[in-house]
Amino acid sequence: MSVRLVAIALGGLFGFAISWGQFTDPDRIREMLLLEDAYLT
Amino acid sequence: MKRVSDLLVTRPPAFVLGAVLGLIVVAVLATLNQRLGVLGGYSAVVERLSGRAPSFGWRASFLLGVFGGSLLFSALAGGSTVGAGYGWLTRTFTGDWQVLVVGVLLLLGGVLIGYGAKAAGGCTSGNGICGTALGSPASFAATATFMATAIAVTFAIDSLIT
Repeated sequence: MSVRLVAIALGGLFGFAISWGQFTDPDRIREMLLLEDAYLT
Repeated sequence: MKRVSDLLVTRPPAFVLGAVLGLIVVAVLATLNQRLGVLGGYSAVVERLSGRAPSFGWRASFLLGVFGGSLLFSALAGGSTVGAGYGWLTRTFTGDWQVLVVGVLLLLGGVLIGYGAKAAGGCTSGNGICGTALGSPASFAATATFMATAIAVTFAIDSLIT
């Protein structure tokens, strides 16, 4: 398997994981930085 | 039986997602012999488009995968799980100038993040997830610095707007 395909597959898994964890949500990140949401910290 | 979209609107337990992210770090190291990082993907694209690199390299492919994985998540979840707008920014700055003010703040924030990540040799993923997992003292220092700064600034902003 080529390096490119492996990188796309692992990047895809990473993107899916951070989306599922809602790490892409500005409000979630703000709650984390205000120490109100321990999920990300 | 739960539908896939019902499953995806709820975050998995932190120890599950943390383990998945950790395994991706290990997989990148084992298969590509490289350190995981997202900023490197943006750099690779810019360097290729500006003629400073002969090819996009694996980092650009990884970045493409990140976009693809996020899109796949949205498709399976039946839409984005993130609300419209940009969180507290679009709730705080309303009115005719909202687009301009929020746009300028996001642009400034992006420039600062980009500059800081390049200066620190990696972004939150590169230092916070991968570098610390590999025991890099520089990554521990960078992660402690950006987390402490971000927490302090967020508390300062919060005291101003609430």
